Amino acid sequence: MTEYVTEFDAVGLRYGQGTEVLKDVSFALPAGSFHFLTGESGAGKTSLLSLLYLAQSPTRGCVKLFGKVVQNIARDDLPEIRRKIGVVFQDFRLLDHLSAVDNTALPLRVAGYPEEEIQKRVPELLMWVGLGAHLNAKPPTLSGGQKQSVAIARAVINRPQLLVADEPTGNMDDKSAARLMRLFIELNKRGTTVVIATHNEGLIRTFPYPRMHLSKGRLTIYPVGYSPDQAYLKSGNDYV
Amino acid sequence: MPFATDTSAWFLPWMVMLMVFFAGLTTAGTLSLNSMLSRWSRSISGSLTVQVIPIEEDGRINKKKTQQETQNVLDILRKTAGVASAEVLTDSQMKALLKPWLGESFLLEDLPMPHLIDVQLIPEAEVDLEMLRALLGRETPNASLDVHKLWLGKLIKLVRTLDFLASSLLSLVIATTSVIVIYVTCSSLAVHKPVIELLHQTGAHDAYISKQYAQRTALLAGIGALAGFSGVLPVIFMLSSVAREVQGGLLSEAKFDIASWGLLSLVPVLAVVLSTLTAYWTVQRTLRRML
Repeated sequence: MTEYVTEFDAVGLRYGQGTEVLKDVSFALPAGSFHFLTGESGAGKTSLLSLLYLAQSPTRGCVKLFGKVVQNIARDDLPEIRRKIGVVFQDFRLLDHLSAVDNTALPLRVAGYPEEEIQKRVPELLMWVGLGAHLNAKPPTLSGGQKQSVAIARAVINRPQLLVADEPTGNMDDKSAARLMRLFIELNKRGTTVVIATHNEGLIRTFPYPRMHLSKGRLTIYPVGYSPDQAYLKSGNDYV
Repeated sequence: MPFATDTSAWFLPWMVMLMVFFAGLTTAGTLSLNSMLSRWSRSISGSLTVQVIPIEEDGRINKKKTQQETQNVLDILRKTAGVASAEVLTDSQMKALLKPWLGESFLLEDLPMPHLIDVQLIPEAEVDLEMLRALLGRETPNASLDVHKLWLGKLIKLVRTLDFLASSLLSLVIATTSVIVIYVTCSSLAVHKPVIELLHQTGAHDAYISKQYAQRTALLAGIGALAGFSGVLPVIFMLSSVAREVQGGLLSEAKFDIASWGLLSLVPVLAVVLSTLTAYWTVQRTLRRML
C-alpha cells in the first residue's frame, strides 16, 4: 500500500473575510516523491505550501500530514511534526543579527542537538552549498544567492522527511541553481519528499520531475499516480 | 539568542531600575522603622519614670523639701509589688539626657529640673498602675507617673500605619513592574513576530521561545535591578549618617542590621524573578493564540 506524506481532500483556504485563495484542492504525495509546483503569480502556490509546512490551517476540507489530520493535532505535538519538514522561504527569512552558521544551526539548536554536533554538521553543509568562505558572515553582507544558500542549508540541516521550497533558485545563476537542485535530488534519493514551487521552466526542463499546477486556486495538474477521482479519497477513508 | 535587540532592550532596564530604587527605599524605610520600634520597645517596656517637680517657696527652689518628697516617693515605689528597683537619675545621667538639646556648657543647678526616678519592673509582673498613681498623689501633688507603654502604643500605631502605607506602595510597585514587563514583552513579541513564526516553523516548542524571552528579560531586568539597587545604597548610607549625627534623638535608633541588609538585597533579586516569570507567562499566553 502506498504511503503518503500528505493528503489534501477538498481543501479551501481564505485569509480573513477575503475570497478563497485555494478551492477544493485534493491531492496526495507519496513518500519519497519529487514534484514541482507551478502556476502563475497569485495562483495560490505559496498558500498551498504554507498548508504543507503548517503555517496555516485550512478553512475547509482536510489536510493530512504524516498520517495525521492537521486540525486534530495537539498543539504540543506540532513542533515534532514541523521538525520533519524543511522549508525554504521565498524571502529567505534569515535572522540578520546571526551569522550564516547560527542561522543554519537554528533547527538543530531548537531540537536540542549537542553543540559539538552542530559545530561539525553546520560548517560541512555550508561548505557544500558554497559558503565555506562566509561561515561567520551575517545576512546583510551576503548576496541574494548566498542568502538563499543559507536558507536552503537551514531547511535541510535536520534531514527533513518533507522539503518544501518556494522559488529556491530565484536569486541564483544557472550554475548555482543546478548545484542546489542536485542537493535536493540527493536528499530525495535518501527518502525526503520534495515539493518545489517555481516559475523557472528551464529548471523543470533540466530536471524532468513531475509537476503539480495551480490555476486560480485550483489544482489543474495532479501529482503523478493520482487522479481527482481516486477511490481512496472518495470512499472508505476516514480522515478524522 | 535568536532575538535581535529592540527598543524594549533600553526601556525595560530603565523601568526596572526605577522600580527597584523605589521598592528598595520603601523596604529600607520599613525595616528601619520596625528596627527602631523594636529597640524602643525592648528598652522601655519593662520600666516607668516618675518625676518629682521641685518645690518652690518665695520664688526659690526648696531643695531640702524636694529631696524629702523624692525620698518618700522612692520609699513608696520600692514597697510596691512588681517593682524591681527605683533609682533617682544622677546629675551626670541628667546631663547626658539634656546634652543633645543644650550641649555641654550648662549647669544643672541653674535649671528647674524635676527629679527623675527610673523604675525597673520585675519581668512579667503585673503592677497596679492606678493604685500606684493614687498612692503617689496622696503623698505629694508634685509627683507624676510616666507610663511608657501608652506613649509606645501610640508610636506603634503610627509605625503600623506607615508599614501599611509602605506595603501598599510595594504592592503598587510590584503591580506596575508586572504591567510594564507585560507591555514591553507584548511590544517585543509584535516586533519579533516573524522570528517567532520562524522558530515555530523550525520546530520550537512554546516553552523554548518563552525561555528565550525569559532569559532575555532576566538579563535586561538584572542590569536595571543592579543599577537601581546601586542607587539605593548611597541614599541609605546618607540617611544613616544623618541619623548618627542626631545623637540621642529617635533616628539614631534606626540601625540597619545584617538581617535587614539580607532582606533589602532580596529586592533586586525578586524584581528579576518577577520580571522573568511575567515575561515567560506573557509569551506563553501570546503563543497559545498562534498556530
